[in-house]
Amino acid sequence: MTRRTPVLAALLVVVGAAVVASEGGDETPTVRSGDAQPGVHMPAAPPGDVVASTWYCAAGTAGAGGFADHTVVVFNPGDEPVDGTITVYAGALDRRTPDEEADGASDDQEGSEARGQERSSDDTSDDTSADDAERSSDETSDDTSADDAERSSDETSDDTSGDDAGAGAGGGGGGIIGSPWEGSGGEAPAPVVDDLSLPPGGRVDVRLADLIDAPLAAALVEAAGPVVVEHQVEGPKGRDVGACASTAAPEWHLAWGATTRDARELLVLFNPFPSAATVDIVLTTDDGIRQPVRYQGLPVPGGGVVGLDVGDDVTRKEQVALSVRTRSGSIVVEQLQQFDGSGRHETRGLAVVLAVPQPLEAWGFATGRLGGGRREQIVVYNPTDERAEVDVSVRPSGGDGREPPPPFGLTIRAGGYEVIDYGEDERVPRDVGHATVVRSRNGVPVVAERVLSFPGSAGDIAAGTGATFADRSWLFATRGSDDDAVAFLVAYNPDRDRPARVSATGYVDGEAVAPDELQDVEVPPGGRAELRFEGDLDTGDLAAVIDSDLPIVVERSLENADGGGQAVGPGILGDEEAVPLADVDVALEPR
Amino acid sequence: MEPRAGAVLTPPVVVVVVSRDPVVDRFDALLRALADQDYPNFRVLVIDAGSREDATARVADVLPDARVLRLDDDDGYGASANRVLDFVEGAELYVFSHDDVAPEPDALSALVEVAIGYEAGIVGPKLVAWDDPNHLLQVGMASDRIGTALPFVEPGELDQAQHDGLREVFVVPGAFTLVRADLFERIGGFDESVTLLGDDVSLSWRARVAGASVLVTSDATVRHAQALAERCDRRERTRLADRHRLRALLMCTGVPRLVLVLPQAVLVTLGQVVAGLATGRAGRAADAVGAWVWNLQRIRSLLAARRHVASIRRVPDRHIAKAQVRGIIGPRLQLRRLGGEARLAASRPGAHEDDPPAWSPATAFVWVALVAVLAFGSRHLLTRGVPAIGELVPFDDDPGALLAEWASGWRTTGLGSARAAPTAVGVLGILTTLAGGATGLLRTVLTLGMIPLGIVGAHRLLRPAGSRRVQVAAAVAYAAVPLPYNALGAGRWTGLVAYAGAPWLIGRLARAMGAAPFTPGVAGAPGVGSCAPAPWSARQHVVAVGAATALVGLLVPAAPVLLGVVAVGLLLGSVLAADTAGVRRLLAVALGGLVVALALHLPTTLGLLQAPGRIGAWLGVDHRGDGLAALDLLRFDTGALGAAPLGFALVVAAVLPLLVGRSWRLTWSARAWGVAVVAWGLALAAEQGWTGVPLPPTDVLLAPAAAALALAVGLGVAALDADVAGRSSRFGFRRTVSGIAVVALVAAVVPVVAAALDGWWKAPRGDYAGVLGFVEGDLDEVPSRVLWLGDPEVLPGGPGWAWRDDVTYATSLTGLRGVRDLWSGDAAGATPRIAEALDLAVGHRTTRLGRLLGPMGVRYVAVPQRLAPSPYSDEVRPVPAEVTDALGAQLDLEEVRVDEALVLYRNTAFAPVRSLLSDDDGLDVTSVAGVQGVDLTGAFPVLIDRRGQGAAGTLPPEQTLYDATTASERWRLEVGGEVQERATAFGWANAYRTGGGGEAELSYRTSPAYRLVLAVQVGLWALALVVVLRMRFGGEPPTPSLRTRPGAERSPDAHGGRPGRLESPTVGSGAEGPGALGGPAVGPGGDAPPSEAADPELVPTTRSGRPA
Repeated sequence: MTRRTPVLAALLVVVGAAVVASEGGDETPTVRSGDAQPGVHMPAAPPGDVVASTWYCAAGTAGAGGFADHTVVVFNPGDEPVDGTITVYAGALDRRTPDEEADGASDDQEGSEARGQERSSDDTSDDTSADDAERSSDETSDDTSADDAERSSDETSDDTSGDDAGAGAGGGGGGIIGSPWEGSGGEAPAPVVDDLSLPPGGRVDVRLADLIDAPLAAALVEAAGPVVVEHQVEGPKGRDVGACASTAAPEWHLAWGATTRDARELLVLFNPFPSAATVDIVLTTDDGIRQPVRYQGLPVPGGGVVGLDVGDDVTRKEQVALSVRTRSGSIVVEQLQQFDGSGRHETRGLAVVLAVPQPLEAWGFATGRLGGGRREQIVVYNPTDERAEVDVSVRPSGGDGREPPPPFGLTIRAGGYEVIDYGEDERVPRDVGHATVVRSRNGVPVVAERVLSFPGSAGDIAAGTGATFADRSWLFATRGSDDDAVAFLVAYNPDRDRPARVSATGYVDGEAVAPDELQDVEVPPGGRAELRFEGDLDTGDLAAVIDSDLPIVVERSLENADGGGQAVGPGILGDEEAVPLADVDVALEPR
Repeated sequence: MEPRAGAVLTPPVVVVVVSRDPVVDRFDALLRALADQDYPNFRVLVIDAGSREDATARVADVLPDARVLRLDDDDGYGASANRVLDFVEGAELYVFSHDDVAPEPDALSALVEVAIGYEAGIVGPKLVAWDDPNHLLQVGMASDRIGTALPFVEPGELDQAQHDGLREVFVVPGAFTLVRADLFERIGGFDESVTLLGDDVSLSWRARVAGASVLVTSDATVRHAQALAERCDRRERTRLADRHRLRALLMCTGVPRLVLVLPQAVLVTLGQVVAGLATGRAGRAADAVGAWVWNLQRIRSLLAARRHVASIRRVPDRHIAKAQVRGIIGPRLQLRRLGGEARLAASRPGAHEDDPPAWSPATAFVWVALVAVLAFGSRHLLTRGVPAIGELVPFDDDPGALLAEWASGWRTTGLGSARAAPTAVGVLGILTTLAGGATGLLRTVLTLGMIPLGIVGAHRLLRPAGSRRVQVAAAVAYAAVPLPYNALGAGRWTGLVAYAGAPWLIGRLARAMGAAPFTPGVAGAPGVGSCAPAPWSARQHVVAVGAATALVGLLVPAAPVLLGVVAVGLLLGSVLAADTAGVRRLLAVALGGLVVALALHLPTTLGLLQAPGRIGAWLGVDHRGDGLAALDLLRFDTGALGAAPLGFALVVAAVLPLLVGRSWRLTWSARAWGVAVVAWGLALAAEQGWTGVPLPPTDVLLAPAAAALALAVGLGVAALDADVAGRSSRFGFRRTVSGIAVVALVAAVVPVVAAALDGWWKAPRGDYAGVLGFVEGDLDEVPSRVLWLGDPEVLPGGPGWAWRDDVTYATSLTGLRGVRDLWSGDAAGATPRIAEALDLAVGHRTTRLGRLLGPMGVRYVAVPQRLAPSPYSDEVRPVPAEVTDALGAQLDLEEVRVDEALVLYRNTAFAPVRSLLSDDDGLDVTSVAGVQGVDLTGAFPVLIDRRGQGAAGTLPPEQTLYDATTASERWRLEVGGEVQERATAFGWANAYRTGGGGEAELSYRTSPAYRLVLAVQVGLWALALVVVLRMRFGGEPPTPSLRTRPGAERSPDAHGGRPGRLESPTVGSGAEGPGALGGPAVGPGGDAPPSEAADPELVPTTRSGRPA
């Protein structure tokens, strides 16, 4: 053996070992694409050490005669007083037409204005003739006349107030092309800032119309402590309440909407940031995917609120799903959906729905009941580029030993949606409360929304997305200001094995009250429990905190005294350790 | 010329033979020739200058009366010969003889006859070739005005009596030279600064100045072997001739004359430089300049010598000049025709005749091609500038600001901190000052220039191999390494500099080891005097290695790690090769060099020693790569270049010496691979995250591997020449693998040649400066900061401070990060508060990040997603979505659209870095989060004019000045000449009341301790520079340059020397001690005239003339 041999051997061994070791260790960790974050993917109370909690309430009106008068409710669930501010931004409807968009932004102001007026008159005549035609076949003339008159009055009032406002849609001083602000050549009303002061357990209701006069008004709530914010809209057709957004996002999705003759879907885009955002909107109807020209590259100025009447571009559709994506910047998107009761299902009411910033794999709805004329639909929308395989499982409560029905299996094409009407399927038991869990089987995330409607003049529609998290604490800033309505909270325990023990605390005028009957309430595995605040606590001033020893889902149900729904939807996540519902081991199949 | 009448014909003569390890045959011939001399009254003194073998017995055999004085060391021919002044009494004439001459029997008589007959001061013989006495070598020489010796004889000229006779010359060539003893003593003997070559010119010139005549007689014939050529190559001879000629000129010429002549000497030097560069001999040009440096280094002895020459002057310079040849061009052309100065100094043909190693047309062509490829590949970078990407920051900083940053002990980066700025900041401040307006050129040189610097380093690394082919192969291999091009394309300055420095570091450590072929050039060579600088001591190697490491460390903080990698690699290779010669020296030098390098970066080193936890950040450990695998690293695939399969070609070529090499080629190839393996191993560990210890960036770690591969490739070519070619005509294994290696080397070059086509080396063709011009303007108008967030690979200015995975942050007071922002180390001072604020935003705990950053003066938040703006860079390095989402969710950050590669936010709630507050409410808030309640929007900017680390301007009365800089007691505000009280604002910044208002200056007072440290650092750099220059050009000898004895006219500085030398001569030939050298001791009799016809005595005396 020469001197060369050990040299070569040693080098070969070292280099070879290094190659093998490094190649073998080159494993790329897998990352779940659908990891959800409380506060981002669902409104959540800020953690206790938060520097400042910020909430965005996008949709509502603040003008005289507005169809969705906007009230913001701020609740301080903490033990320390909290100061903050509410900044109200004025907004208006986007008046552009596809023709205007095609003409481009170089059109002079005068032309814009003229076309806006032309568009307004055209719309009125078209809508009127179409409404008339449909009305003659479907509805009684009296009711229709009244409703139409009311609706016409609402819209005219809204539009007029917007035009009359004579200011730009951008609170930050920017204007959008074709907006009523620009058309009048004026500046948008400056944002109005008001101070807030909340004692521990205290609550403040702020009606935005008291601060600003505008066709649309959005609110930005900032507080130097952990507060939660909900908002309530109220109009001639109904009322609704729901959580405001605790984050802005570059992407938002809505599974449901309707632009039928009796419906009006108003999409509200709120940009609370100083930078302008540019958005693209994709709509899906039974005709397929649509990308209206005027919804592409739509500017939302910094500090601006823009309303889009979806029906202007998507007419006469019972189901419209949509996705809003920004090219730059982040915004908040909410939907105001109104029915005048003149339609085929005599549906009437107003709903405000916060869009969801990201499709997720699992959704939970704690509330549901068929019977008494109620309609319940689950709409599942797949905004991704892949086909989704989805199970919609109904979990009846009652403990009567009945097997839960087999799930609805859905296959949803990319960009498509599916609607399940529980009333049309016998597998969903009547007159028994139930929960619903929507879960993607193939990991493709979806957006699920539930629509409850209560036919009749006393009815009101209730719609909204479900919960995507289970949590040990849930917060409600308001019970709903209608003292005549029946309000209760529904706790659903998604755990398949363990019962949850739930306690509820109500806050009225800053005083915390924990009714004995609402303490340590056991919720069986996969079961539900209704929590009702009685007596003095059953008031519109109520705020509530629900605590549980296991992650659960809690929804608020607000029903008119005669059974018509006003609002149904999950509360606000209260614990930082909220668990994505996709990670909860839920028994979906019948045992 | 008439002889003097009545001259004494047999004055006592001492023949002084200066010798060291002579060639036996020649030495014996000399001794016999001396024994055969017909002159009756002479003695022989053999001065043995440190021979390994004692020649006393050999001398005694032939010349029983001769004396042998053994010296411990060889101090050069002149210094050794001058010992005659210490040991000889009574001689009237000295004959200084080399040990490679053989005088004809009548030579001594003839010389004495002329000396006595014509009262000559110096007499020389006719020198003929040793082997063929019919060929003339020299019959004296002329000299031009600048001291260039000009021969009368052409090389190879036959002796046909054409030069016979007695002639007056300017120079008697040293070989067998007679000098009158009194003259020799009066003129101070030989110039001891001249170790070899040129001693004769100096001696003859001074003799003429002293009024003596210098003659050559053809009656004395001496054969001369010119052994100098056997131990000095032409390059060394030329170098010595240049130095010593210049010294003779500067020493012997009076000031008035010097004013006229010195410009001519400068012109000659410039001509040599131009000629050297034009002919590709940069070393020759360097030597020409080095001659001046060498003399300047010896300015003290030169001045002393000049004073001595002035004291002995009898002949004015104008008369001397008449004896010299006029002009500088004509004589040089003549000299060139005769073969050049060096050739004439030793014209014997031999293997070392030409500059070794020689340039062949092929090697020259390859180098030209290499330069052409580099120039072609860099053409756009050269003409349009290197883009300001990554660490390749713009050199826009004011030089004064850079120097202030270095000298103040306050770093402005981040929110400011009392930290030492890197030495590089000060050095770049000096360089930009020197560059004047040419900072762009300076930047180009300091970036692009790193590539040729590295290649030249690889070329020089193998210089000891003695083959230009080997050197060129190493250079080509190193040029084929993808590292520098990838580093350039990715804006990694540290990678470029590490590439440039690695071969030099390897070379330094290799020379420190001293293992063949990195052995000192003249150690053990026969002959007196060294034609090259003395072999370096270990201490000198330590300084050299330390200085080299410190130089690299200016721009590569991890340079000490590089040194360690090379040292450990060489150690590993030595062990593998079972040849541990020089290993201990290697480790000692590496360790010592490390200490020196750290000492040269003293302030930084002290800071790191105080807080070792900072070392990781200082090394740039956050600058991680892409998790490269071992095969990627083997190919140096760190960027656009290095893809398989051609990426492996270099490795294949580097295997050759391991397979076919023998002797030192195999040993050194093992060492080279040892270095490569260690470097690769560390790089792999860093990329794979196998270690918990801080490691430098990958391309820095890979640089030694690249240099080692180049070394291996060069060794492969050496092995081809020595171990393959000519050993067998059979086309076997050796030839096969050799062929493969050659093909592989050619293949390795192909990607580089291909990459050269675009002229940018794949670097982006633009930078963010183009899109952030308005930011620069805004920050100029209102001093404020830009907060940079992003992947460290794309962050302008290089990696910042670690924040979260793959995201670092940094700040700048300008539109782009500059020199002052480089090497930011760890986040110091209040800087971590920036990360705290960012954490709050990403954790969804605030939507008012602008307010949190506002008091920090952050006006813009920039998040680059690519190395350069579109369309110059395609590779996207996005920050995690949670970061951009968090920034997008801030209510007071306004997005500014500038480029798709850069997310830029304008902070609508920012406050200027120095602003005026009408009240100080809220300044007592200390938490980062608490600042959210404080709105400084609209704060009025003041003190806009920067002054050093501070600022100046006018302040109104009774206001609060807020300074968004880390609080420190050393900050001081003077308003109207009064120092204002400082307070801490927001728990971290400075605030002052403005008092009565007026002209104000905000300044930082550097601590005396820091100034002291800086002074020490500057002193150490100066010391290192002196030591290195001395090592490069030789140091000033501790002895005076001219020796005189008491009674002779001398300069006051002529004393000194080495008295201890007299205590230890070993005296042979029956001598029993210093006092028994052959005669009674003669007392101080230096002034006593020698008695006529008296025998010369060889007496040891002290320097003062007293007997020892």
